Amino acid sequence: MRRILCILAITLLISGTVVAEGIEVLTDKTEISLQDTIRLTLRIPGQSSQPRITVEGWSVSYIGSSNQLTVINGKMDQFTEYSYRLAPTKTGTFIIGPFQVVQDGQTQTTGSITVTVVQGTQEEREDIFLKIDIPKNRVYAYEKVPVTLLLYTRVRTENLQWPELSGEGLLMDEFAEPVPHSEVINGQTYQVVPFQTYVTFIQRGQQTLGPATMKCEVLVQSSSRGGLFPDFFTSYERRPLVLSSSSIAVDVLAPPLPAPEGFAGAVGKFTELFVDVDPKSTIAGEPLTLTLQLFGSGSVHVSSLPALESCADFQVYPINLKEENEGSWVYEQVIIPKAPVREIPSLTFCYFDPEAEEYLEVTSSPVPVSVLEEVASSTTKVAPPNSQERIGQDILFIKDSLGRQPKSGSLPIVIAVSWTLLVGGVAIARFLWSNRVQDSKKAAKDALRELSILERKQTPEEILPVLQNYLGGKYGLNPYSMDRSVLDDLKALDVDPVLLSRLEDLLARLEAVRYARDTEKDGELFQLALDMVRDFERIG
Amino acid sequence: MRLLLRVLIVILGMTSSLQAQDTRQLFDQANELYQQGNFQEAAVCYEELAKVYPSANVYYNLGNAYYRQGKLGYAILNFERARRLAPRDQDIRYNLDYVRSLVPETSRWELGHIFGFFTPRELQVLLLVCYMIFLPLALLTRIRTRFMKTALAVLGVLILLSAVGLVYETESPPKGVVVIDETKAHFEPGLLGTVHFVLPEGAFVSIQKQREDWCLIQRQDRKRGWIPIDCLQRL
Repeated sequence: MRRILCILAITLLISGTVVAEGIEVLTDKTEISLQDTIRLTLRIPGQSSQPRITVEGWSVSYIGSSNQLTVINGKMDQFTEYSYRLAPTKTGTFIIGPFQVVQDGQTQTTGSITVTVVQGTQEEREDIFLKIDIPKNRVYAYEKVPVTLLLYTRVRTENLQWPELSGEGLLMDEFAEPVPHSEVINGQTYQVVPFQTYVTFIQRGQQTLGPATMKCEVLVQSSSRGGLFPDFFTSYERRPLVLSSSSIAVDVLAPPLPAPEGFAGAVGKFTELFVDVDPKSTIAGEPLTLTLQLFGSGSVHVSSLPALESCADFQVYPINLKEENEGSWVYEQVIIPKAPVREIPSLTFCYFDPEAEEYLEVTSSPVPVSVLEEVASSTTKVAPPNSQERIGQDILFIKDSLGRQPKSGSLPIVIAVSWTLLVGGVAIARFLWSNRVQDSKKAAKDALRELSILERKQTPEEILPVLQNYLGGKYGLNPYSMDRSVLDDLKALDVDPVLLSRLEDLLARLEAVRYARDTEKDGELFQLALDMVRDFERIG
Repeated sequence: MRLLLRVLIVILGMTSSLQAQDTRQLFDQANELYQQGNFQEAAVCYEELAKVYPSANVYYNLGNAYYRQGKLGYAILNFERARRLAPRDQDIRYNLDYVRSLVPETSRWELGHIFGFFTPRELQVLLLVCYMIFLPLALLTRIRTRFMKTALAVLGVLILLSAVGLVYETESPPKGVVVIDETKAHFEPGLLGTVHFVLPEGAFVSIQKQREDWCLIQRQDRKRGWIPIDCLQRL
């Protein structure tokens, strides 16, 4: 029993497990290097919300949670595991925990574990590394030197941070946005991310550039369940990585002596100097703004710019940098002419060109101005300012009313469908009615035509069918069941009683003819039938 | 039973009246904050108000509050939302045009502007009314006169145009406004992808596709690129 307890205690110690009130704090390692990480798991019985944990000296990132349900001998246990990745930010021995866990509205405190972080050594990696690229190792003080930090990677990286370049006695510009490209080294294709900048060494002598460091996260394949679809179950975990490059020795020289008069430390290559003044017409004592625009590349300081101090006609104020662009600088200086002058004299800018290794100059052209005497200002009429009205521009003011709330939802399609059915139904009914009228007219026309044919043939036995067809078509009656009862139907249809009486008489006579034919009266019967149909057409 | 119904009606009436009062009160409070120069707090109030009462005026004022904070992207976004609700409001159009003039990329979606004179709701009403007149004229009358033929042709064109407008509004890709300045559009959805072009804050783009935290957008000149989804707000 004692042995079992010992083994259990050792197992718990090795795996860094602490049990407190049923909540377990688990970690995969208890001693790591500064570049490594640990996985911390809180195993909580039952359900609980995700505990938010912070550990001083560590950066914590939440990985995820999982639920476990175990049934042993009919006893069911449920656990929720919350996993975190902890990355140390400094060395030392740390006690991680205790943490507060809220479960069923009650706050519980977990145990704690001890983890030791040692310095470790930066491992040399071939799949990802950082390199400094500088075009020359012998530079002049205050010379702007292009430097490129190259990140070579063959692994998936995320959260790339801007690199940091160390070095004493140097000024560094901001890094330009990198444009990645591919490069093959020893048969391996690397993704290369170049971070370009300019550094200026301000201390002479042997200097060191670098090392450069860069923080990123590397995606490492953490598990693969294999099987038929390994790719679907491959997961990656992010591992923080600090890359460090080697440093480079740089020999920083001073510009050669003797320096010419007017040289104030500008190093680089400058092409043009433009000078302008505004306004060009004024009176003595009124301020003017002098604008100096310098083109080229290199290090320029306001103290190295040409000034009008030597000219006794002007009172000068400090030069201010107004705008700095790629390859040009714009400076402004306020000057006050003390006496009438006709021009701003030409200015000379002296600099040292490190490529040519000699001192050079750029000179501006003189700028004509018209500065009148101060005493004349009271009598001189200054040209009125431009009378063109200046219209201000801005957005309009806010509205005081809430406005109408837009109606939500679309118009019911029921309206459109109902309307279509209604109009369509009316159109169909109208179409059918039109057909029926056409049918009756056609029947009447046919009857008239047939009667006229019968009249020529003199066959009275066929008068009755023709009449039946006519009345059937005109009034919608069944022509095959037409007998004397048809008179009642026609009466119900409000047919003229005189016509009905004549029709009754005609039907009786035609009935009589069927049994005792009188050929002399055939023509009379035809005429009666013909007149009857015509009267039906006219009156009925 | 009747008494219970009456009580319910009174309670519901009181509730809706209170909600209306709260809305008005919140609007007045936001306006007051704006006039005091507390643009950020005013914007928060307008945002809350827009959730329960999304009117053109609320979005207009919200756009003003964002503009005063220097957030051109959010300002354009809300002016555009206001314009869609009240397309013929001159104040909204003026502010939208002015703020867009401050953005380097000011291209517009021309097809959207043809139908942008009406709201989708108005297009629906126009379509329905024209249809309800067109149908009986076409089915129940005899087209003999020139006037009838002309009327039917005009109605037919209006039906066609409003239907196309509605289809455009509903079927065209969603639009969005870039709210982060100098947003880089990459060839691939990832920071390691080569930068294709850079979008200024307030740029108007069409959203083509979304993939995790990145979305593929298209400019007016049909150039496309992937940008982080956080840099964009849908209209």
